Amino acid sequence: MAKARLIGDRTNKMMVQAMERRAADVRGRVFQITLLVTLLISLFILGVLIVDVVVDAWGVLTGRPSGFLTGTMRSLSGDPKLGVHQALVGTFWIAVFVAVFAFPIGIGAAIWLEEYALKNRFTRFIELNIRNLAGVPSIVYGLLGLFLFVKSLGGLTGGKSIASAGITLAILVLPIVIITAQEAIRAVPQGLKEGAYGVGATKWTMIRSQVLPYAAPGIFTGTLLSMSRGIGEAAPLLLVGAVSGRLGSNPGFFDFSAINAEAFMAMPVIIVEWVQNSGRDPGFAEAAAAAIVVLLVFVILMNAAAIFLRNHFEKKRG
Amino acid sequence: MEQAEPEASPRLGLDIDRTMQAAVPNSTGDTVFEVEDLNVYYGDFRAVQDATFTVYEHEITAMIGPSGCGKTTVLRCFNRMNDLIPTARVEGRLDFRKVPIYDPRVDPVEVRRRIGMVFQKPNPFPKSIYDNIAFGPRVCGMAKKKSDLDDIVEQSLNRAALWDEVKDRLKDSALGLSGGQQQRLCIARAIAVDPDVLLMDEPCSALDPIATARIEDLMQEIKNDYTIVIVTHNMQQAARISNRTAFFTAQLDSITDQRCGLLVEYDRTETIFSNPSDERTENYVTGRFG
Repeated sequence: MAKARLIGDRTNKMMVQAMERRAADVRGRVFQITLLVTLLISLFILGVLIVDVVVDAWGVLTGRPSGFLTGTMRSLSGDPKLGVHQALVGTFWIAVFVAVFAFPIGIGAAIWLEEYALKNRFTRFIELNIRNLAGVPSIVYGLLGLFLFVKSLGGLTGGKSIASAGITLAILVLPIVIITAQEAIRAVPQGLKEGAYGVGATKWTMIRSQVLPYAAPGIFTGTLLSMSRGIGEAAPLLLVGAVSGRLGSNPGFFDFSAINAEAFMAMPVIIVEWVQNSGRDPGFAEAAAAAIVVLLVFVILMNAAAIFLRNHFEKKRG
Repeated sequence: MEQAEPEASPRLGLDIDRTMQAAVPNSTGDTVFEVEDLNVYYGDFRAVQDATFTVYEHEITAMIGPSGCGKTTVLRCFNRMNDLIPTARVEGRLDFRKVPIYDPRVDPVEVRRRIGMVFQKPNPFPKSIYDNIAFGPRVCGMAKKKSDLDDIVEQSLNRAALWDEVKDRLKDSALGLSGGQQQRLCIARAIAVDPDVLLMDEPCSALDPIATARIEDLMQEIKNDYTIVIVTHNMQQAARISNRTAFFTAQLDSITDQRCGLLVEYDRTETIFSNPSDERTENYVTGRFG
């Protein structure tokens, strides 16, 4: 009885009306569409770039792919021995230098900052500066490399060499490596650390057995992505001595004596070089596009490695 | 000797002290922790004020009280877990079997090996069940041979009443266990290094009543070998399982003008729940807490 009266109640009817009157959320809708548009714009620009480069490079890539990969720098675009081999070798070794120098130093610094450093004003000052260093223009690192590694330490690095370039780029990506590794380490749950301490682990044991395995996927992703960024840099390499014009030598991938030899080439620099040459010899535009595709593939392979390593370590951490 | 002159309930110079002399089941009467005028600070904030009480061997000592009353803070002093918080500072006397554990010569790593801890949220390592248990014995260098380690793992899981459920999947990830199983795994992990004391910080708060009952049974079983100190929000749990209960509350500190944890009353559990001497305790245990 009471129930029936409630259902027929006027207030109930009003409630039903209010609930059924679903007003269009105009502002929310506009916001959502705007976000979608921004995403589409970025994807569109990226798509145009890739299509444009691949179309330009199509002739070279389909005509003589292996000749282009094994060929060397030439003064004429029509030369059948024109290719990126010297630049690929240079970029490969620069990547190795970045991995050898930036990764251990960067990850070590990150562990110190997150696990050992006192959380005081001095530490915050250091962290702020690392963030600022990540934003310093790459040409500034090129200047540093020129004065420090080419001039002052020229005896060790061989002057304008792959070694100088590699260490310079390692320093360029170091702040990014530190920051990404720090974020990965910070994401380790406090419960895991306390669990390890709780059964009598020392700090070092706790870090080795809990923090590093848990943070490994994030550290690997971040560091390899930062390396991808580093090897695409042309500006600092121009300062530390990537040659322009012709490069006489053509060392193999595992020709270690070439590492501190006084001449080298790298992918971003060869692209700049050929784009400049296309003014007098339009055929170089096609070669530059093909070189861009090669560099893109190189970077995509490295990112694929990053994803593979991340999945591997994620599976390992359970 | 300790039984003749019990140090319990030192805050209360009342006739309750005489009832303390009644024999406590399982208790040897030996003291495990002696706490005197314990003050804990986080930076300038005083979290616990002048706590004084004694924890006895082979007993379950419960710490109850409303949120923010400092009971977890006190628990984490017992194995120097508060050292992990850079601003934390501990003053006063805290002796573990006559050893002042905050003495600079004392190694906190060794303290934590002897005083194990089970946390509020089950925190198994993202490793296999076997490796979770074996972690402690490995870092402490307890097992020379693989077979020794296998024995420790089996014994610990047995003690934690988990062996039958996991013996066929020791290599599986511990994260695949249910919440209650994970918490028993954490207990097994804690007792694998053969500690003297088990500290439990609301170990059942994330568990359902059935899993809670299993953990409580387990605690009753293992208290013959260990001394247990448990923080709980659940008064029925404290009443069911503990021999002694410490009631903490938060009150305004007249010096810092901040809320600060205070040990109101410490006594045998029956006394705390049936005949407390402090009105605040009575209000809390009867559910009239303001």
